Amino acid sequence: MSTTATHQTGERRATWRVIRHMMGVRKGAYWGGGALWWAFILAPLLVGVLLERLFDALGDGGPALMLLAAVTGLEVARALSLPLVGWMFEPFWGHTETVLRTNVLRSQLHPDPTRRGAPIMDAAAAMPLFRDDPEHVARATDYWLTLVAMSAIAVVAMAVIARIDPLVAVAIAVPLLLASASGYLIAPMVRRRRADDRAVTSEVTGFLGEAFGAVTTVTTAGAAPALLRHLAGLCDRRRVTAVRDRVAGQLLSAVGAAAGDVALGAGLLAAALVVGEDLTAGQVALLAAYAQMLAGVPRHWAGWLTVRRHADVSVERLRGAVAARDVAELIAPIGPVPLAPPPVQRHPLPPAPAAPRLQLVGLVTQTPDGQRIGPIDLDVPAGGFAVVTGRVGLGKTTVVRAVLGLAPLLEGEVRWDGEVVDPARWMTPPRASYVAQVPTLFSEALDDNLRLGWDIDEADVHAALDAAAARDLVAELEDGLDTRLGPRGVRLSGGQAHRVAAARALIAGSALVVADDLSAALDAETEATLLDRILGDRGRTMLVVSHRPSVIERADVVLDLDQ
Amino acid sequence: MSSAVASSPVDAPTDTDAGAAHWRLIGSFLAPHRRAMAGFSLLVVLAGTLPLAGPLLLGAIADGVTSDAAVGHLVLLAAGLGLVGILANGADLTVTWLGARLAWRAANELRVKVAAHALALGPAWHGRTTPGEVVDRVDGDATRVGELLARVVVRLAAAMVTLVGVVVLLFVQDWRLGAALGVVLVAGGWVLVRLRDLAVPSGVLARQRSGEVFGAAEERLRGAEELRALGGGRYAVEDLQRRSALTLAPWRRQEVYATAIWSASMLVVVGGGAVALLGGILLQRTGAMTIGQVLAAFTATQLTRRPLEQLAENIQQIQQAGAGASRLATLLAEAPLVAFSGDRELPGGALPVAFEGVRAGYPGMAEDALGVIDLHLEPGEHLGVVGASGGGKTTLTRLLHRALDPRAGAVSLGGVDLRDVSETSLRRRVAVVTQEVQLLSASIRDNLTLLGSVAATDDDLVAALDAVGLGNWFARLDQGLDAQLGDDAGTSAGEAQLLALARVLLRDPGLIVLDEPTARLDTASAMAVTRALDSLLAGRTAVVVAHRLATLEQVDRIAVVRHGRIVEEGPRVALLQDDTRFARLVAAELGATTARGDGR
Repeated sequence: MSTTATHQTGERRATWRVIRHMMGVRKGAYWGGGALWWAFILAPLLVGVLLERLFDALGDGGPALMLLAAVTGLEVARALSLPLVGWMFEPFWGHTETVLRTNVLRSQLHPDPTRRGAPIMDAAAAMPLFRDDPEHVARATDYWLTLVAMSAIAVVAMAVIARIDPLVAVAIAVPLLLASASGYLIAPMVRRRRADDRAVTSEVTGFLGEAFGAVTTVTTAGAAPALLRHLAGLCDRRRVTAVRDRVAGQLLSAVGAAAGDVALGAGLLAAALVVGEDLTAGQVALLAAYAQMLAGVPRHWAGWLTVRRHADVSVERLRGAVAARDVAELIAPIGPVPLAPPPVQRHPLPPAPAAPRLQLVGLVTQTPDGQRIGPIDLDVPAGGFAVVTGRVGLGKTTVVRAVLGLAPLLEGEVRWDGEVVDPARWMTPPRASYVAQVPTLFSEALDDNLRLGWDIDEADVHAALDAAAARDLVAELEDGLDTRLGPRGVRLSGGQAHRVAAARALIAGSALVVADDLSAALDAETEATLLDRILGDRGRTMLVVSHRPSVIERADVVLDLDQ
Repeated sequence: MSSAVASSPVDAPTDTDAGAAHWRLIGSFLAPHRRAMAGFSLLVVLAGTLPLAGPLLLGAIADGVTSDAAVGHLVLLAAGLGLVGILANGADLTVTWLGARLAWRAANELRVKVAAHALALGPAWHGRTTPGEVVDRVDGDATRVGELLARVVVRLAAAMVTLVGVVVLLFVQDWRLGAALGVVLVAGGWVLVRLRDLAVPSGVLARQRSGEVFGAAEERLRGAEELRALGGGRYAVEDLQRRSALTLAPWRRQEVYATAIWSASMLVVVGGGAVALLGGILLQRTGAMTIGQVLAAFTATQLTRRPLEQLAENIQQIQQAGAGASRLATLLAEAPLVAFSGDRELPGGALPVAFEGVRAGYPGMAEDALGVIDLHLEPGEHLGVVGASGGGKTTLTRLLHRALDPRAGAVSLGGVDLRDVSETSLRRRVAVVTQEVQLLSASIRDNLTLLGSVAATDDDLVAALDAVGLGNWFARLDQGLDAQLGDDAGTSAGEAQLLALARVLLRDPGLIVLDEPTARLDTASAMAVTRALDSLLAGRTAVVVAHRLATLEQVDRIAVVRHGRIVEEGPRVALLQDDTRFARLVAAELGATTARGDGR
């Protein structure tokens, strides 16, 4: 119990630290917009008093029309200020979200393993880190302003009402406090309903995702009708949970609104009993206006609890994705977040070193499921072509990944021209490049996919495409190098993607190129062309995984894991 | 409620076509629920009218106060005020409950309809749409439209009743008051709707920009290792920051619209209140109204605040639903590549295949993807299709299971033009096995029968598993056919492919189309699949697409497809003996040095 309590305190402190930081990332937007917002929320306090005067003026022939003009003027100004609030405040949201997203991704991709966040295994499950969690943090920071203003309303309104008679204030406060208390009872039920509905909803989306992922099988096997029946059944179950959820969600505000009406009734009742004949029509109008405002207070307090809880969960999750769960990493400054950001700057790449002699000495590594591979010894001469081969499941991929620092180096060492290097930090362009077994290309333009932010001459890009036998492929694309890949652009076949990935690895002119199984996606003819071109000038050392006899035949060094 | 929808200014003929289209969609999907809606409307009227009692009671109290009425009378009125509040909110909650029920019924029907349509759209459409996007259409958009009904239209209807009630109330006091309020409300409503229409595109842009941020983040995480190994981490981070910054301007625009809508709704309330007060003050001076009646009239106009504010708060939902409904209307308007209207049955046994003068291509592309193809296969003959990727191999197979119809010529099986065959018969007699095996996380039984679309006894299922060589794997499972794939029963890529073959075996097809069935398998698994294929293909016609030529050792004939044409076709053995493209391909695969010399 006590440990959970401490843990929660720690969690809350972290959330508060993040929130406080975000209040300052865009001060003008947050505090400027926030001040206007406060004025917007608090103005009705004044309106209520003006209405009191107005209705009293009706009784004693006072300047009712002037008061009406004041009320209307104030309300109109208030309404018109809203878009201004939105315009001023909105960049705060985007800036806050950008800070969190950028820091999470930076932590995930950090070249230094000690400054890298715990890896996110399932990329799809990482979605909340970039969408929901930053939003929850921004919302909590935003909501804090409302909370402060609503609390001020509660205090001031109660004080004004107490001027009529303290008992009237009490009569109004009691139903509202009761409603707040019932909110604490209702809230867990609302959460349960929400959880039930989420569970069924994810069942429906999960099923749909699978069904449409398997669309070829489903349609060609004539299973569409059966699938739709199953979907209809799931939808029926979801209707029940969804309706319950919606009603539960409405319950809190219904109780709050009813409490507001009851509070007004109770206040008037108390006023009739206590103040009696001295009660004025203006005071009735004031009570009606203030009761309505006060009715919103419990709902906003309850809302803060929810917003704050979401923010706690989100900050926890965000911290889990940055190095050492350090809040400082999460809120590290990222520079300006302009409304019209310039294109990403390309950085110059240092010249590549000469092709190295690559040595693996007693290298021991392990596969993701914990199987130890090694010890392995390999000596590739400068400019040499080494092939790793062997049956499936022996760890060919893991070996080359260990050379690149992507798999752990448990024992032994990797030497570059005789010097022991730390693969994770050393094996990057312009020293080393990598073609993965199943390469990942990104949705942007082909050109950006190839460069990955490096400032490389157009001529070198074309040379790399040539060497990777990918020039024809690019020539056939309508927009050439500007063609966007990915769901909204051109979809490359497996073989085409491999050739592009090969070009991407060659573009930096790296001294060492590591390629994991080009054969799987390329036919023998294309692969031979590709190897001819890459090996043509012997300006680089190559380490590739392959099981194709025609490739092994050309190797200077073969590492056969079968032996 | 139907009347509220029909009379709402949103349905006005001045609305844009897109707007009209999505309201038509909503109207059509509500149509089957007319009767439920009639009873529901009565409740909505009650829920909308009840709050009107509040201002009347308040006015009576104010009059009581000014005329020094008995305390007991005031107490009674105050208690009544509280009671009315409870009743009105209770009625409101009931409306929410029944409205949600109705809306979800209708939304579920829409969901299933859209899913059915999307399934029928064919591989070309699915090729350019990710499963995630389809799910967002089928589930996300249908839910958004349903929520629009449940939360907003229902509220809007109750709000309309209240608004009309308020106008009537004022009209009774003095017709000029009622008329003036009516004018303010109608003008305000018009402005609100115009603003809403203006806001929709900015909402779409903002969400699209955000979507690009999430998409990019997901991709970068997926490719994290390659990014690190290729030194692209810095670029990826800077790019994400830029994309994220790019969302600021559209979201700000969107927020200005959203707050402008809120602002407009407030102005309507303010205008109504000002009209009531101004008229009230003037009439009270002439003695035509009491102070209490002025207060009642003013308070009544303030009743419009809550529904209008809720409406304004929900404006984003309305926008999303509007955009969702347009997307759904677009999807439903998309015609499937093929439509099944034939009713002929394919004959039993192995099916002969005939391509006669076939040209084929995809919509939107003028060029044919497949040139003129003439090809004949005897019943039981096995054809291997080889050639570089993008050459037309897949298009050729798509013609066989009618994922695509020829532009010219005809494809017939067993002498029947495929366009004349009923869908049921085609699906039963032609089986397709793809490169990526598509399994559901459901029981083995549901995976084999595809949720019961094949009638088979448990014994049939076990026999099929045995026949493809999964007998031992299956014997290890405690839950038997009820074992859930993924949870109880792990499957390697090879086992998954074997399951797919068992699926095919159960349907006893006369033609099997295989698209690189062993492409993603290691050697041992590939051998197991090849063994299973031998028995599966025996006595059936088959078309096998392959990169790895080893897969083709058992086929009778080979077709080499290049640039949309069959450039070489004949018995496998004969092709191997001559200096053919196929022979060169095989040689290259085996590593012989004669592989060169076939440049483009």
